[in-house]
Formats: sequence, C-alpha cells, structure tokens
Amino acid sequence: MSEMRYNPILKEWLITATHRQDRTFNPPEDYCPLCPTEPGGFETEVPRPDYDIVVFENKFPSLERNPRQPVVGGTELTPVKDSKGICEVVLFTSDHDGMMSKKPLSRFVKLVKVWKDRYESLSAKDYIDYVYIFENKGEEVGVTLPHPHGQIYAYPDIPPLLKKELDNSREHFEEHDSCLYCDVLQQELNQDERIIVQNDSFTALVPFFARYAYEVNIYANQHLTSFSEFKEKHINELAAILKTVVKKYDNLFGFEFPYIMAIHQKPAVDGTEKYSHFHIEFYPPYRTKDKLKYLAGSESGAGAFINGSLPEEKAEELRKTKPFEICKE
Amino acid sequence: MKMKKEEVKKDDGRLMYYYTFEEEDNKKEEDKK
Repeated sequence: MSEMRYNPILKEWLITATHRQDRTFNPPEDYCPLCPTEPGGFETEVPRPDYDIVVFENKFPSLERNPRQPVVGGTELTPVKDSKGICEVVLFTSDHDGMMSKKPLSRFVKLVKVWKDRYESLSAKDYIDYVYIFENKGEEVGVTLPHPHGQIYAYPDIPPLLKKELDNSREHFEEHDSCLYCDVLQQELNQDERIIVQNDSFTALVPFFARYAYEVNIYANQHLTSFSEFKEKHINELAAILKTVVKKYDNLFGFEFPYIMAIHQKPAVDGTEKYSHFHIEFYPPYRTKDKLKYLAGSESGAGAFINGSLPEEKAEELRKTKPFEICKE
Repeated sequence: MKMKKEEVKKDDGRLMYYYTFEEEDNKKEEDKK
C-alpha cells in the first residue's frame, strides 16, 4: 500500500509504502536480481545475458505511475493523496563486484549520459515536478543489494529539502540579483581552503557548512541549471571529477567508502532557472576510519547538525589522498 | 560516444530501458578492465 499524507506541522508530504517491507534484502551473491540472466539460470530483473547500462521501474516503488487508492481518507487538516510518480533503478554495470572507482572513465561518461536522458525524459511528464537522481552506497546507509546501482525518484511535487534550498536561493536572488550557489562557490574559490579538486566545468569541495566529516559537494562552475544544459564537455568533465572524488573516497581509509550521493538541479517546472544551480552532494556516514556518524537527538529531533570535525582539515585530508589530479582515464 | 536507448515493457508492465553505446567505446573499456 502506498499513499501521500500531509503533515501540516512541517508543511510537507510523507509517503507511506508498506509493500517495500517485502523487498529483496541482501540475497546470496549467486541470486543477485540486478545481474544479467544467465542461460539456464533464474530470471533476474534483466532478462538478457549481458548489458551495458539498464534502467527499469522499481519493483517496490514508493511512487507509482498507476498508483493504488489510498487506504485512509484525509481531512482538511491532514489531506491524503495517491502517490503518483515514478521510481527507477539504474544499473551502473553488469559487473556485480565492480567497484566504480576502478572502472574506466568511459563508464562514468556513459552513466552521466544516461542520467541526462532520464532527467529529460522524466521531467517532460506533466505530473512530475522534480526528478531526483541519487545513489545509496554501502550497508552503512541501508543498501539491500550490493550490485552497483543508483535510483531515480520522479516526484509529483518538490520534496521538502529541495524546496527549502530553492526558496532560499530565490530569496537570495531577489535580494542580490545573483545565484546563491554561484556566490557560495565564488567565496570558496576566494578563500581557497576547502577546494579538493577542479576542472574547467566543475569544482569539488568540502563546504564551509559541511554537516558530515567527509561531505563533498561538486558545483558546476558556470550557472548550469540542470543536465539539460550540459554539452559534451560538461558530460565528460562531470564524469572525470566524479571518478576522482569516488576514487579519493575509496583510497581514504583503504576500503570502499559508503555514501549517499544526491544530485540537485532545476525542478521540472519553469520559472526557477535564475536560481537553480546544478550540484551534487555526497554524505558519507564515516567520521573516522572506524566510527560512524549517527543522526541522533540534535540532528533528528531538532534538525541541528553537529559536525565533530573542521571542514578545512577534512578538505586537506581529501586533497592529500590519491588521485591528486583529475582522472583522465 | 553515441548512445542508443531501447524501451521494453516487462511482463508485469514495468518499463525498462537498455542503453548501449558506440562499439568503439565499449571496446576501449573492455581493453582497460
């Protein structure tokens, strides 16, 4: 069962998706549902014997193209609506054990091209307001299938955190006649204390206001609003800086570094072009080599993040971790 | 690198998309594995 319930206290919609309790959880390696179907073997999500990159609608979606009826009725105070939207799974490679940081740069280029296509295809649907592309990586962030993959949620409205970002960016634009993200990036470049690596099109940095010890943001250097404005150079250079950051993460402590990766860009509605700015945020749960950051009392109950480290020091650690230059292959 | 997309409907009605890329680039990637 799935529906959207309105929370008037936070002014946001909550999605219930009880059928997700039945989703596949850490299956044995020879039963991975994201691997290609081997001849004579059990059928996986991909019926073909091999693939390059595949996208399919999630078997256990939080949002559905043809949503079920809500199981409860709403009130004027707490309305309920069906959970119309689209949830997709993106398989980065057919290689079950393939660490992305060890894949050639061309694999990242392909992935960025697919993300761009999915963003444009899903944004074109009249019932979609926001296309959110993300990756959950590692058991530490709740991943149930280890095969390299990401997800896309196409929401019927702009989700709360993204709306807050956009509202703040719009306010800044109205006050200063400039994009908030462009100004934040310019300040980071001027101060030059938290930059990790950059190329012509993108800059990776630990933000001044990082919430996680090893949080990294990748900002478009120009005011690009979304994948739709990407030219070939942007695609290639985003792929290169992504591979560089992921490789640094994996080299940092000598194990495959878990994280949540969130791609923020222009909503699928017009009118936000001047203050929407393409960027990627990484939230890694490790605060040291063997200690995790938990979202506890202050973070969960008050929304106030406490970062137990200095972003300037963490940026330096990441700068001093290989590769030192942008990956070229 | 040119990309092609093939849309397929799964037995249960879900949509899936196979993305393929120019042969030359695939070959390059295999060489580096």
